[in-house]
Amino acid sequence: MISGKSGYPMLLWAAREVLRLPGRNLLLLACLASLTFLVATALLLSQALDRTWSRLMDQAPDLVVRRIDAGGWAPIPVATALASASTVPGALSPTPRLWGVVPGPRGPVTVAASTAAIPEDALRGLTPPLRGQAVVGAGMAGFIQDDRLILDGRMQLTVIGTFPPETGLATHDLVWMAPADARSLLGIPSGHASDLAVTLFHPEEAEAIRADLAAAFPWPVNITGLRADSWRHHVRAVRMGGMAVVACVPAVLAMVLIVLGTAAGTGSRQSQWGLLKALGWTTGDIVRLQVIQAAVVGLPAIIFGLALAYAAVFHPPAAGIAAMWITGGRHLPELVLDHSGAAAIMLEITALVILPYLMAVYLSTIKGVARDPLHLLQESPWK
Amino acid sequence: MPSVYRKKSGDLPAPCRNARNLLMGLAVVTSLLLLAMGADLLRQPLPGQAAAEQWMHTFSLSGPALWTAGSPTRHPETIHPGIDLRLTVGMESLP
Amino acid sequence: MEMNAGLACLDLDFAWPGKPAAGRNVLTAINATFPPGTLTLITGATGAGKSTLLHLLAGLLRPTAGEIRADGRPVSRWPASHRDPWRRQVGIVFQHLALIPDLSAAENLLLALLPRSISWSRMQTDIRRQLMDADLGELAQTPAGELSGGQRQRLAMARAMVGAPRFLLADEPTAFQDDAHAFAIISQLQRAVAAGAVAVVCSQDPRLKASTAVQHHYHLASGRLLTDPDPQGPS
Repeated sequence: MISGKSGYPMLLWAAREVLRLPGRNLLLLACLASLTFLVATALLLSQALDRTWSRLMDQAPDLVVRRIDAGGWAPIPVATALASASTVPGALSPTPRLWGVVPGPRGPVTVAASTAAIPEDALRGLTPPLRGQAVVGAGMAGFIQDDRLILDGRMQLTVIGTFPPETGLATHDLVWMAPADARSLLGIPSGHASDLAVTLFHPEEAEAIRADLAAAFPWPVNITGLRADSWRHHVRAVRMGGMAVVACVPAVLAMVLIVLGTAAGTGSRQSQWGLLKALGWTTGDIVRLQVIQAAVVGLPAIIFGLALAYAAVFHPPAAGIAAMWITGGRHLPELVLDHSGAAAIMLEITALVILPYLMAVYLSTIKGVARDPLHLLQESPWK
Repeated sequence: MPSVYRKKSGDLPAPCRNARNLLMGLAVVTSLLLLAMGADLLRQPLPGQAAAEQWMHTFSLSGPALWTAGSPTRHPETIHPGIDLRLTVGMESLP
Repeated sequence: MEMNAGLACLDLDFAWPGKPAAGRNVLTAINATFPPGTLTLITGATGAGKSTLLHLLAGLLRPTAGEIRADGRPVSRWPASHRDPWRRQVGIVFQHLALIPDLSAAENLLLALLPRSISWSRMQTDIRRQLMDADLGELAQTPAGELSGGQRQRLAMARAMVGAPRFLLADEPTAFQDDAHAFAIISQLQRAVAAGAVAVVCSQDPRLKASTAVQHHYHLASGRLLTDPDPQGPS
């Protein structure tokens, strides 16, 4: 389209035409950028949240076994549970979990203790808490005074470290304490755990293994498959993305109508096109000019919108706000989202917005120019 | 070509200076934005992301911290039909 | 000179669309040739159809009968996709000038050069030359809407000439000019025909009628084009 000696002058003239109507073109740029921003934010966030969620849930257990008795949940004897779970084919590395939810300084918090030694490289500079100590998530750091943490109104701990804010998706309201403190706080006797986490060799066999696992234990248990809930969130994220695309369609159509209404039609614009034809411009030249002019406004607008959306999704705290909106959660963790696949989505959004826009300009110009030059010239009086 | 018709480039009859500046400005800004996004996309792996996954694995956490602690969506394994949850520590705020 | 060179009207009829054909033609049975290297003047009363004939010669309108040939080619029968680029060989000065007021003088000339495959610097050179020939060199960047009537008319003439047209068609090109500028425009027309262009001017200006630069005189009346019996007389 743009090549050789006629390319640069035509491009320059298209920019000159943009400057002839600065207000209209600025408004068009703002509309395109806003439309792109809204669609891109929803699509990028749903896709990034879904991918990040999947990566995090890959680290979560496939099944959780909790013992129940007449009084409700009961601590699970570790040795018996491990022995029982190990007899089930397909169940890998059953891990006792020492965790619970207790009232914290500003609402419930998740307390957890590691039942096994943590490798040095996994600590990432944090020191494992000893008895009376705790490492807290970034969401709680603001509510702690003098490094004192009081849980459930009765246990006081000294905060010795904070999980990095960028790990907020896992640790936002987590309190890591020594196993002895956790047992004391949660009422879990020695040799017991809150529940048992089980990883499966084939996660898709979770439903099939669940019955075998339940039968392996000598007491009643409730087994929860976390994958099912993960799938629900995946579906929700995909649905959000789909809704964004569907909502984009009427928005783009509305924009196309605006373009059809303004690009083609005024009498003075048509009379100028008639003049151009009288000067030797072909219909193709005029259409080319209009499309280049539209691209001069449209492409930067879309890139601005994409850049804003990218920043909103992948650079907190905007991402946290958007995540709360999409998930309905009440947290504002610092989201660090997986941006693999974002490039493809941004290309898709660019095509979704720019192609109908340029097509509308193309078609409306073709329609407007397809008359005898003199009739076009006489559309509006010349001063 | 007669020299009277040749002038310095800064003295063209139709320089379209503003148009040229507009094109250059848009090209520079959009290029910078594309470069910034491209550089950010190439940044792998994201340190916070890997660390979050590590802590998920270390504590065998049930799910990401997008919901309040104790809520059924955060801890689905704590939902038990037929059991009065009001008697369970920490579950008082459940719906 | 080739027999088919220049512009030629062959049994040309024209009526505006929607108007009854018989007896109401704007132009009837026009037969005329406009050879290259000549300046032809067409006179006639207001409303005689001079502008319409010029528009037909420029390919802006299609005749209802007959044809127009340019250098032997039947341009009036061509589809728009062929006539539009052919019009780059035509320089036309409209009666109402058709200048874009918010564009500068030079930018109005640029419009005539943009679709051609020539470089930006060559366009600037051609524009500067034409503006200086039209005594508008200092007003290159003045918006056309801010020029005087005479300056705007010279600008329209410059736009017609900037592409070195093969066919130069001008409608009242000297209407707002003083004697000095009118003679300057006539000189421009002379230079163009000396380079081999076909120049057809419609005007009632007595200065043009009396000018020796004009080689052929026609008079348009009642839709018919006749050789002017008294070229030097009043219009």
